Amino acid sequence: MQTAIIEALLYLLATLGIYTSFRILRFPDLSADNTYSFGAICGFWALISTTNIVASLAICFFGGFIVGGFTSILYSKFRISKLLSGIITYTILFSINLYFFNKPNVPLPNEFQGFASLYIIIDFLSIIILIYATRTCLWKTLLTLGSSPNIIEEYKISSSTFIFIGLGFSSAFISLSGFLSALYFGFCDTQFGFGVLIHGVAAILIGETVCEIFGIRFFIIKIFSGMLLYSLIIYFVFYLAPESLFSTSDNKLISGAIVIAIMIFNRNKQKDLVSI
Amino acid sequence: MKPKITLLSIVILISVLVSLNLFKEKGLIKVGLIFFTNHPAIDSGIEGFNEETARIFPQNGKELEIIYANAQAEIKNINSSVRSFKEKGVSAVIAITTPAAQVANKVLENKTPLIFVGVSDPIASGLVSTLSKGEKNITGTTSKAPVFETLSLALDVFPNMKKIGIIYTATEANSKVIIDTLDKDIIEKDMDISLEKVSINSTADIHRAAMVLAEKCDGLFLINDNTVISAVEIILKAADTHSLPVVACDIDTVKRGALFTLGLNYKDEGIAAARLLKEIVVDKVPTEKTKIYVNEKYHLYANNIIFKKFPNANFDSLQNAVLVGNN
Repeated sequence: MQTAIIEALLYLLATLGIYTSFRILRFPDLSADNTYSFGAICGFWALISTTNIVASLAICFFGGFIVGGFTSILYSKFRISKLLSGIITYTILFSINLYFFNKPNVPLPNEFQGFASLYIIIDFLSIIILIYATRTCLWKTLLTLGSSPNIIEEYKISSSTFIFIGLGFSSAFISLSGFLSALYFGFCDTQFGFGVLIHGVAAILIGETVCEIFGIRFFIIKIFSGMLLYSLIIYFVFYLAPESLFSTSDNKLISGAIVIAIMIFNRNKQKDLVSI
Repeated sequence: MKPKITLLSIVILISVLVSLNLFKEKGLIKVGLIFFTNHPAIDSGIEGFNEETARIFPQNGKELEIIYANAQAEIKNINSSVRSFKEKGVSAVIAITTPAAQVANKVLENKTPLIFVGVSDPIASGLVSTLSKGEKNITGTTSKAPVFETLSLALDVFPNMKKIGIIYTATEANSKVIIDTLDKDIIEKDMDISLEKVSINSTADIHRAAMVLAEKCDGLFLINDNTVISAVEIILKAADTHSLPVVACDIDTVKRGALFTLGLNYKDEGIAAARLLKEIVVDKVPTEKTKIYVNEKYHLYANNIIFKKFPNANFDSLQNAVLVGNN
């Protein structure tokens, strides 16, 4: 249980970011995996060069914001499709991530080891800020932009600005989450984020099917319970899968089967994650 | 109604898994083995480890229980599996590859002994500060790959090779270390060759990179890069179209079709890890007093294809090679 809670908290911000782009903006931003690695590496680079944790959190956040903004500019200014602009950012980040240290794997210097539990504080701060944010006009505009873009156009609001802001915050949260978990694990690696997008989407779907009774305003509860449940599933697969029956590489098969089972039992209620 | 059915099915599934787990025979000593992904070098390391543990503990399964976990290339999964090891009360953890060792080090919090295997540079990875002995709860095995030695051998056999192509994954810590040392060595020894390096991100890029290099270069040189080695057949095919020699740095790749190597056998590292494990869990030697094993046992292997494909090469330095291949 402890493992699942730690994991859910570590990846909570990333999943909130994925939720913002997929569910609220209806923009399937596929760059999440590398944005996560980007956050880890950018944050480490800032921390090592400035030795100031607040400054490096800010640099990491704005770095992520620029990444998301870049994707949105590709989409709205250059008319590249949503999927492709995400993929382009994803590919570019492979090279960008290597620029910071010129090597793929950097351990955290010993004097910064005390920041390992920072993720708990930042998570709670972000949740409080997000709860306030859901009451603002910005949030409502983003929601409308995702669900019915025609209305936004009729009101003569520039949709590209809001896509820029929405995707920027989405990537900034993913990047921040990457930095926090890199601090927790004590190293950063360019392969750090592999699987984050899929885990996030799975967690969102599970959370939404299991906590169906809550309305859209309680999306944080849904996401957190989805993360928790999915982490528990993965953990149980690792902990319980008997070696006599399954080989060590079957863990993804088993976790896939459990997720399918959950989805099948709730199949009447579920909506599409995003229409592409 | 529906949520109840869902909950019920999850409970049933988990209890089935638990009950299957309970039927297993419990060993006296439990150890956990975590590896990053499947790959020939990692597999032969595990094979060596298994053979040696079977020799040290002849009644394998009664005295020693090894719990295997495959992280399937996701750092998130390393965390889950090492924590499950901890909960099962293992007396040592064996972590194969750099990220696995780094996460395991963090999760174990210096309480359970950690044996790392297959980490090219344990100092740069922040695991230990010296290669002479273990530290805190950490010890392990590392290898000094004879990359430069193999390259010199390749130049002996093919004296006309001037432009050498190398493909490596930019995101792999080990590859970066190897390439940097190789560059430094070539400048130091003032050799009359040039390296054409192409970096890739995933298996999908290998074909393109191999085709580009095959057109430009006189020969290809394969370093021990996880992504490149796992798709070595693509590179061999590209080299074949231009009849270029391909030299590798590990034995498994020679068995798959590269010409020759002065390589490491990763089995040796697995064997050394099993011996370290015995020292720690049976003889109760504290981790700080164990020695980190540096694998410098080089084996000369050659593939039979070389005689057929390159009859004009200089075979003098390959006389003692172990020959593999079909014809």
